[in-house]
Amino acid sequence: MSDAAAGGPPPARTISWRDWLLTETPHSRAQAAWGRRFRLWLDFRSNPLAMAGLILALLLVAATLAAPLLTTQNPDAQDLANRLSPPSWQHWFGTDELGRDVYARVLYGGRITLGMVIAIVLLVAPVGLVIGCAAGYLGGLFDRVLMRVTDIFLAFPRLILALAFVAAIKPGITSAILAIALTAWPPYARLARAETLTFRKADFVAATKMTGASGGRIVLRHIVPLCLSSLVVRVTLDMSSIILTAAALGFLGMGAQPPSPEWGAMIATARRFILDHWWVPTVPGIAIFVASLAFNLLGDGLRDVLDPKQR
Amino acid sequence: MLVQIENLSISFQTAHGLSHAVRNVSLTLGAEKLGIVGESGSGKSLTARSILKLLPDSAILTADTLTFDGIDILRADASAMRAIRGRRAGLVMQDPKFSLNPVMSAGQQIAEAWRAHRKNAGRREAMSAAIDLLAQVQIRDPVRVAAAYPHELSGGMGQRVMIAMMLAPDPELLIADEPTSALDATVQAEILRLMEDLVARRGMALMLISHDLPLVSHFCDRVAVMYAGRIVEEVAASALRGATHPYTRGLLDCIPMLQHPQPRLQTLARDPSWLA
Amino acid sequence: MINVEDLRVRFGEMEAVKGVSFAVAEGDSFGIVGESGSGKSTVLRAIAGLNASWTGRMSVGGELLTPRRPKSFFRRVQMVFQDPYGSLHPRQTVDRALSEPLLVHGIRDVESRILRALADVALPAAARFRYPHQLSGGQRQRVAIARALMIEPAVLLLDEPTSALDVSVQAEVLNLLAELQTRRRLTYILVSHNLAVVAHLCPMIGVMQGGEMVEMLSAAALRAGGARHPHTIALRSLTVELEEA
Repeated sequence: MSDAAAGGPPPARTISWRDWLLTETPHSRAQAAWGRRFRLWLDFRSNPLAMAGLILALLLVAATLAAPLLTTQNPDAQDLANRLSPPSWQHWFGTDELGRDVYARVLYGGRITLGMVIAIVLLVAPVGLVIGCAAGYLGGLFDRVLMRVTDIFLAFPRLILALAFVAAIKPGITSAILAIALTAWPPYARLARAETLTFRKADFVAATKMTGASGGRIVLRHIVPLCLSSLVVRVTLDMSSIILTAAALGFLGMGAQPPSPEWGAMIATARRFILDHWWVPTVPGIAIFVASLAFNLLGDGLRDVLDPKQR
Repeated sequence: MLVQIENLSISFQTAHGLSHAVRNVSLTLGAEKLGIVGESGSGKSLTARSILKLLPDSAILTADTLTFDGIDILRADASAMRAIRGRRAGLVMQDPKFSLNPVMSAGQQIAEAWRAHRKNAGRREAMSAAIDLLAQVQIRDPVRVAAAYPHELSGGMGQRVMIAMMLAPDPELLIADEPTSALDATVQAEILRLMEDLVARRGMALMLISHDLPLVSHFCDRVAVMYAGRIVEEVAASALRGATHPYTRGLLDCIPMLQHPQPRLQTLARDPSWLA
Repeated sequence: MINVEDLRVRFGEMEAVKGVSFAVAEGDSFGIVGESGSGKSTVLRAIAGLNASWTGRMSVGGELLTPRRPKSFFRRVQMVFQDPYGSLHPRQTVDRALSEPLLVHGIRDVESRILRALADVALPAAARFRYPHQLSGGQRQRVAIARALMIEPAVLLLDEPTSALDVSVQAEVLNLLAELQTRRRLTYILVSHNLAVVAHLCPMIGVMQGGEMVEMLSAAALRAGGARHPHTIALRSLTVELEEA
């Protein structure tokens, strides 16, 4: 979403577009919904740190997607004559132990690391959301069994469970994604359940029951949307820890395998050179740091805007 | 005069400019019972709370005069306000559930309020004063109630505890903000009678804020009716039936009456000229 | 239309309703008065099917009620709640709230029915796409009433429908309820702590205390001072005392 009204004298058409969104008397469902979103966006935009996080996160994603445009180097091309050369015009971030360009590897590696994060989130968030809302709404045995299962998952050290899981199948990106997803859903289910409990007894849920709606319809159409915003916040804040777990698995050799330029794996292979050739492990380290920071700032901003306790 | 308010205005900064919640309100209060009545959003609570400077941070407060016993509230600093709040003027709020500390017994809370304004008092002395206060608010078994925690008290009992706590420092003014709207009718009458009695016996001033016009006029000496941030009418409670402002009349007329049934209730036609 | 016999509701150890019986004829209004904890709202929620742990016999329109209600039950019985802010979904527009019952029951002409419902409760068409927080308390309660009437029920259960509203708005909502009743031949059960409100809308009144219906009398008898139970007499004298002040 861009906002043309922010800078320069706004043309007349822009004002009417803005008014259309901000009107107190919308004329269609879409207008009402977009008006609400636009107000949230205006709130979000007024928070500079959150905007910094959003821009940074978008830039990172854009840069990894546009990697072929941003570098001419092949991330896998070895040049043994130029091993471990320091940053230069030729190689902006230097080269690694096989003479591969670190800049290109970090760019292409972002595809793997960020791709893993997105895959995990897409896998985990809907599952946690629906399980948590259903448990909170239905209560009883279903709730108790599910919550004990999440207790078990929560009591396990996340990285070790993921390690055990990866070790049981074969190391690789897919199994790393599955392993992290397996350990990541319980907190979301917990969160969604806790949110659901706060309004399970509310009159609007009783009123929805009075329409004759089925339990599934009440959960999916009335309860899930209310839990969604706190879940989005939590997921964004968790993205940095997912990046770190993915990187840690890579570092331990259980995630992406050596030739592929995943950030954690890059640090793992370069740890031998940390004293003499600092740039090789440092550059992917900075990439992990920047990505984590961006998602954390974004999550904090989203929390300010979306937190149901504040509106 | 204990409280003097002249031309009090309270406004809030919003996205669409200033919004005026209270406009040019003037009031005086001596050792009497004043009722402030109005519908939600009329500014009645804000007006009363301005005497204690208990307003939201974003409120912009202006007045020609705003004094409590000669102290200029507008210029009073935080420590001067602390000396007034709780000690010389107490505030009883709507729901005792939210204004009592859930992890302290009723007796402890009253004893603490009592000690806070008496430097050299001991713990035991304070507790016996608390039990005495609970007896004063007509609690039959004050020792047992003193040991009880807020969740163990009924609504009416909690409100009595709240009143006992406010009375602990011997205040000169009691502000009651909808003190009985969360209570049943039978308990409501008891609490109001209790407040009426205490105020008369101690020579205190009472400011009773409520949306219930008949109730307020029944218990107060004087009633100020607020509409959209203004006082539209101020009458002696006994003369309420003869009120002249159309808003006051309208409010009285739209209440369903048990004794005087009407097939259809009158509704209030709001006149824009009331805002002028 | 509605028959309740020896209704008992338990919450764990506590019996909240201890054998309540009453009957309401079609097109009639029955009022239940009581203080908090008297069990008056619990009776209403048991009839509405929002509480399954009851015993006794209840029937609506001659059909015996079971703890779990079939979908068809909700086409006949609807409810309006006390707090209009809490009974509307905070993220759904008025339009969505009104169309939901139609979607659940597979009723087609959503558009025209919503417009008619808004007109019926005297809401401006401009309110249709607003969210609850953009409406006043009285408007919200009108939306709640409109929602309850969307699928044209025969029975409306009213749980303190005006106690969260200012008196001027209360008068408008009570007038609206009276009008809708005559126009649609609705059967009402109104629960309130306010004796005057109940007597205004309902010719027959049941007084509840401690889970029991201690007295049942007509509004006319109540006005004339024909109450016999001490609790009814106490409630009446409090109301009269304030009215005559």
